[in-house]
Amino acid sequence: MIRVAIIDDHPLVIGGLDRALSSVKDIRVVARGGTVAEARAILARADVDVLLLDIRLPDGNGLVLLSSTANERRCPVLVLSSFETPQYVSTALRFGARGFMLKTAPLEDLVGAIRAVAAGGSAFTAEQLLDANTRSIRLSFRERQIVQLIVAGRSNEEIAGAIGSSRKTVEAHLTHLYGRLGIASRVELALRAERDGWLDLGPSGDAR
Amino acid sequence: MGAPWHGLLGRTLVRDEGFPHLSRKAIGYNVRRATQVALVVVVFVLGMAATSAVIEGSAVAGVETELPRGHVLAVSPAGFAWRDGIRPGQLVVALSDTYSEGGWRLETIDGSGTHISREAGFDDALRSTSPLAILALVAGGLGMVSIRTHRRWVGALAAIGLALAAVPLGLQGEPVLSTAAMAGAGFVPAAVLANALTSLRWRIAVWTTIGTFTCAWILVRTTADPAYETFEGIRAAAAAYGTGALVAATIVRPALRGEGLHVIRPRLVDVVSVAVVGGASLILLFFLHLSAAAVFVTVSAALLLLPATRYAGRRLERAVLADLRAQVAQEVSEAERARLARELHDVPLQELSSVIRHLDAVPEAREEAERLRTVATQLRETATDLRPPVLDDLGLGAALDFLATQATAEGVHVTATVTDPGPDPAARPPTNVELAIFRVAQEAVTNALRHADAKSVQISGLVSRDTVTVTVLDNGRGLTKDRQREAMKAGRLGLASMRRRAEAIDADLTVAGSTSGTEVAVRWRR
Repeated sequence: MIRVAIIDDHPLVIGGLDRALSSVKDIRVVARGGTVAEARAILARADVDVLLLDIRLPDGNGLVLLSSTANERRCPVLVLSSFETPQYVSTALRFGARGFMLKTAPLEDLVGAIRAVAAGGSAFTAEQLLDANTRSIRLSFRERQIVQLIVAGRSNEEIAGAIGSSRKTVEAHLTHLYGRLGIASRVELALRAERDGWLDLGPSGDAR
Repeated sequence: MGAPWHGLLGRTLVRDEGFPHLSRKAIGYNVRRATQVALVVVVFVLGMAATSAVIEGSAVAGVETELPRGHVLAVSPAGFAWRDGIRPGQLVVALSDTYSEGGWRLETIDGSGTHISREAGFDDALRSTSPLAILALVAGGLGMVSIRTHRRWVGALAAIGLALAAVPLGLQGEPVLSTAAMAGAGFVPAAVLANALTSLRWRIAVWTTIGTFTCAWILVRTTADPAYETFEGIRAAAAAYGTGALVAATIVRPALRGEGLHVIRPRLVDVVSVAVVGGASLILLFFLHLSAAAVFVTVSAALLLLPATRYAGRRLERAVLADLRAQVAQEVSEAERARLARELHDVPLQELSSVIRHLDAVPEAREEAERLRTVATQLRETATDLRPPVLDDLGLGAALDFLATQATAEGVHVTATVTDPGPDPAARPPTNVELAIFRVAQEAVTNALRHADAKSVQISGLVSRDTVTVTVLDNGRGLTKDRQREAMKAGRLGLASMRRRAEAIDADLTVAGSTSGTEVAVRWRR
């Protein structure tokens, strides 16, 4: 039996999902809520197999909740959204969601995704993963710092020293960047950063 | 006579309701600008008065005595005799005038001994402060030029100018001008710094405090109260530390943080008019020896105000009415778009998804469910056109990325390179800033694709809580100055709308074009 929790601030949506999922014999809805606070409490529960999480909530944003709990133990999350663009998918992916679906997706797709996530897998479709790699480069400030140091020719050890964290963390950031940008080595990273002008805008060197 | 107002209207109008173009924001913007203009004009005039004082080189004693012998009647703290310990009530022992050997000299006696005050030393000291006077003039001039190019510097430049002008004017001792410069040097830096406080209550509290103190200082000075030394000590400290802090906050700190100084090339006409007025006045001083500072101030103020009034008159109709109306229209339309997009998301889309859930359970209704999914997709597209949900949910960085993916789908190579703080609203710039900058970028991309036939567009962004820099660079037919002017006249290209958006959030916008492309850059700092 798969235990599912639903967070959505629209009673209609919860009602519809509740009824539809209860007709599936291996799924049981064990918790419902409509706020980020409730979602936070459910994330910490060990007796929930999949959390269906809405993005826009009255007291905040589901994706921000995922970003702030990315390093904690939490139950697997399937994001259920009203909108779908590559930016949403890549954000969900980045903060550790296991899948991303539109609220209007067919029931069998939703059930399939719930089963995949409950079994420990991922429910992102191949198309979503392909689109999430837009040709654009989006970096966090930490990633930008690391790219800057790599362009300057520093080793992972030196970068860790410069940004005040461990070598492991730097390597994790790099692996993540390589995967996201489809890059194989630090040399390629440095070349692309230079060629495509990732570091052209401030703080060192104004926009010129 | 006829029905009273409330009878006609049925209710009382609430503030802003009848006159949206008189919103607090619009008024605040104009008041801020007008205050800055007035401030730098005053500083410039005081700078010229200081220059006039050092050229003339004769300090004022500020003493009144019974003639030819007798007691000291009055001593002004503005004059130099006060600094030599001359006080009312002392007995005059000897008094020689300016034209005698050794210049003006006063010797008095009281219970504590004799006091001597001489003119000569002060005249030399006054003449030696000429570099300060000229620097004050330069600071005032730079401040006037900065009004149109870099408004963040205006306060600091005015404070520097006042602090510098206060030294020679204080040494000269002419009561009105020296009091004005010294009071300004104490008041202005603290007032400008207080302006940066976010809480209006605190701002008013600080303004009231320094305003009250400045009034008290002026009162003590004009009435020659014995407590003057104490007050003057506090004022001088406030002037020195306040100016230092203001310069550090607005010029040094941004430079140290590596944010760049963002100096924009000033308009030629501004530089020329400031230089002509300043230069002409100095020539008048040297060759015509206009000695009366008051006459000088009147002439220069008139000179300065002439173009200002003409400019203001010309702008009144166009700027105050047309521009504000356009800005209000933009704000209203933006608010309406946001409301509609939210409404679409909150009601029909949610309801549709629940209906689709129900239909999914009915095998015969497959086709209907499919059709409703198409309707949902159309609704989503409409909501996105009104206001991209990505902007509100994920922030400016993601929205610029979205702009690039969307434009690329139309067949042109558009890329975005963005560094951003992620979706947490606490780490993002304010919503209105994100929206305004997104719209500027959107407008720039639209221009590049529709009017410049660009084949590739590059969006770069550096977004943090306190600063945003976004540039849009294309390789199309560039927007040279001539074409910009032409486009502005014809009301095309949304250049005016970009400018209004940037102005509404106090950001700097630059549009630079050559034959090989256009670069639109917008920079905002909290």
